[in-house]
This record gives sequence, structure tokens and C-alpha cells, in this order.
Amino acid sequence: MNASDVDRALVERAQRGDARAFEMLVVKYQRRIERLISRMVRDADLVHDVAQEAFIRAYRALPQFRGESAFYTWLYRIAVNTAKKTLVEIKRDPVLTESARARGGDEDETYPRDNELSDGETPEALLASKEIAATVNAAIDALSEDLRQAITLREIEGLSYEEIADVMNCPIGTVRSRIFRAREAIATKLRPLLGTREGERW
Amino acid sequence: MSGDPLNPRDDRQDEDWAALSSMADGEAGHDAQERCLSLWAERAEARGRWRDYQLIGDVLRSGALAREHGHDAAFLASLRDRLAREPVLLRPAAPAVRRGRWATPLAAAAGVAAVAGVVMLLRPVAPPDVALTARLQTRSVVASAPEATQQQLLQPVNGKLIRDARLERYFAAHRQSGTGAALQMPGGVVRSVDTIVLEDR
Repeated sequence: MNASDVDRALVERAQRGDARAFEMLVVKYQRRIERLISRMVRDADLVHDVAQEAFIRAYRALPQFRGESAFYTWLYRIAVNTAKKTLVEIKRDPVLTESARARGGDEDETYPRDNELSDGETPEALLASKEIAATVNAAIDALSEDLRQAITLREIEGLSYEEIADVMNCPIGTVRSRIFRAREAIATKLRPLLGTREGERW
Repeated sequence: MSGDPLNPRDDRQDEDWAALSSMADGEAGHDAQERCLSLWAERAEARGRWRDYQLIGDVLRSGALAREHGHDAAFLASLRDRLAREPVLLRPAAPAVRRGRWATPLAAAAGVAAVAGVVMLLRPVAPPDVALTARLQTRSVVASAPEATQQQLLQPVNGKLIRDARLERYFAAHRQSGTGAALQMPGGVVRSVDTIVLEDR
């Protein structure tokens, strides 16, 4: 199963006006889109606004999405175009340019240097994200071989349940169950780190 | 995964989260999809869990996207407010249509355009106390019931009126008045727009 198939059900429902389905896609891709935009737009506040704008544009353009490319590919292009447009506007508007400069961004330099923080993150946020990544990786290592293999084949190799069942020589129901249990085991270790009581902010 | 036989609620909950897990992989059947979407609207825990599952995948692939909940939840909350101001464009599954002209107050900021084959869902700005569930379900009920009769589809829900031939007469009756009741939007502009009207089946 390729990436476009994974999103198909949600995309079709979103195209029929189901706001819940669109929101699920937003939460799925929001971090990637923000990171993409942060590589182009230096100002952290602006990254947030541009990312929001990208999703709004995607929402408006949904009726025109025909599934010829993967949904994320299409969303990616919209985000890039939105960021480019913003950069042009910044250069054009002397007030925006000045405030962008004041926030520490040089508008001629669109890519962060290696030793700089990406996403305009604070050191605390960067530390938190490293801690989260370390926790996930440690949790993966602590899984049983079957659970680890199942979730790795799904999330990293992008195999379908059917393909994983083939590789692991087990029923599809077992694949489904193993991936679910792997996620739950990792999520349980993650939740103390994620800064809220379970579900509180959602 | 075995739940507690003395607590069937745990089993049900496990099934719910298992459905969400398979939905994340694009492997949920139709019933599971419906369940997931209901959970999404009704339970904050479901939204948090979906986000956890997606985050785990992101971290596995890149390690660079890990963030605590607050940032992502705030992003969605902010976007949701903006989406609420967008008009909803629906593409009926099997349109049986006739063209009509109608005039209605439209918010200039919404920038609404009617496209052939698309039905406009008019929605006034939602008051802050409207339940998220009700608001999301309004749109999903219309969207997911293409076979339903017009009677079922086109009921006023939570004060939000949905276009149909009967509403055309309603709009005509209110065109003269400056304050078109629930459909008057702040800064609204009256325009004539070509659009499609669903027929009674």
C-alpha cells in the first residue's frame, strides 16, 4: 500500500465535507508541514501562520484534488507555494521586512545554518523534542521482536498489513494487533513527557 | 489483547483505539472508519491518541518532529476557528440537479464561489457555545448520506440552514429585509450567484 492509499478514506470523506476527516489529516501532517515551512521562513511566528494558511488553502482546493498524486505530495506543494508567496510579500513590504529583521531573520538568507535551531524553537522545546525522540526509540528497543518488527515494517518501510503478514508469516489480524500493541506500549511511555493530562488539551 | 472480563468497558475502549490504529494505517473498514470519526468529534482522548500514533510514526521516520501536545493542540484549535469561517463545498455522490439563480447574503471575507455540481452549505459564524460534536456532525451528516432523502438531509440543525429548493423561497422572502435572520453575516454583501439546487427525490 503506498502513501496515497493510506489517506484515501480520509481524503474522500474530507472532500464530501466531513470536517472531522480533514482535521485528522491536519493532525497527521501538521508537524511535517511546519518543519518544511521553517526551512524556508525563518521567523517562528510566521511559520505558524504560514502553516495555517497552507492548510486553509488545501481545504479550499480539496474539490480539485483528484488523487493523481499522494495527498501529502499535493499538500506539500501547496505549503511550499504558500511559503514562497509569504517570502515575496516580506520582501515587498518594508514594514514586514523591518519586523522580520528585528526578530533576527535576515530576509536574504532563507535557510538556517547548521548550528542554528530549526523551527525557531527555544532551547527548551528542542530539548523536549530530543527527549521525546529518545523515549520513543528506547520504547521501540524494549518491545518484543514481533511488535518491533511489525511497527517498523509499517511506519518505516511503509508496507501494508497484507505485505507485513506475508513477511512475518502470520494472519493480517495478528499484524493489526501487533502494530496496535506496539503503539500503545510506546504511547504509554510517552504520555508523561507530552506535557498534559491525557486528552486534556484536545 | 485481552481486556478485563469484569470490565467490558475496557474491551470496548481497546477496540476503539485499535480501530484508530488501523485507521492511521489506512486499513480500517467502513464501520471502523465511522467509529473513528465519531470518536474524533466526541472524545478528546481519541484526538490525543491519534496524535500520539502519528507522532510515533514521525519520530520513527525522522526523530525531528517530536513535540509535546500543547503545540499541536494549539495549532489545531487555531485552524479549527479559521475553518469554521470557511464555506463548506459539498460534492454530492449522485447529483440530480437543476440550475437556479438565487441571491443570498454572503460574508465578503468568505469569498464564496458556486461551482457546477457543488452544493453550497451556508453556515453562519458559529457561536462559541456550539458543541464541537454538533458542529462537526452537521457537516458529516450531510456529507455521508448521499442516498438519504432530501427530507433527512436538509433539516435545520442547530440553527444552521442548508440549501434546498424550499430555502430558495425562504431567501427570496428575506431578500427585501435588511436583517435576514440567522443568515445575516456581519458585513454581508448581497450577490447573485449561479448554483445548483438539489431536487427532491
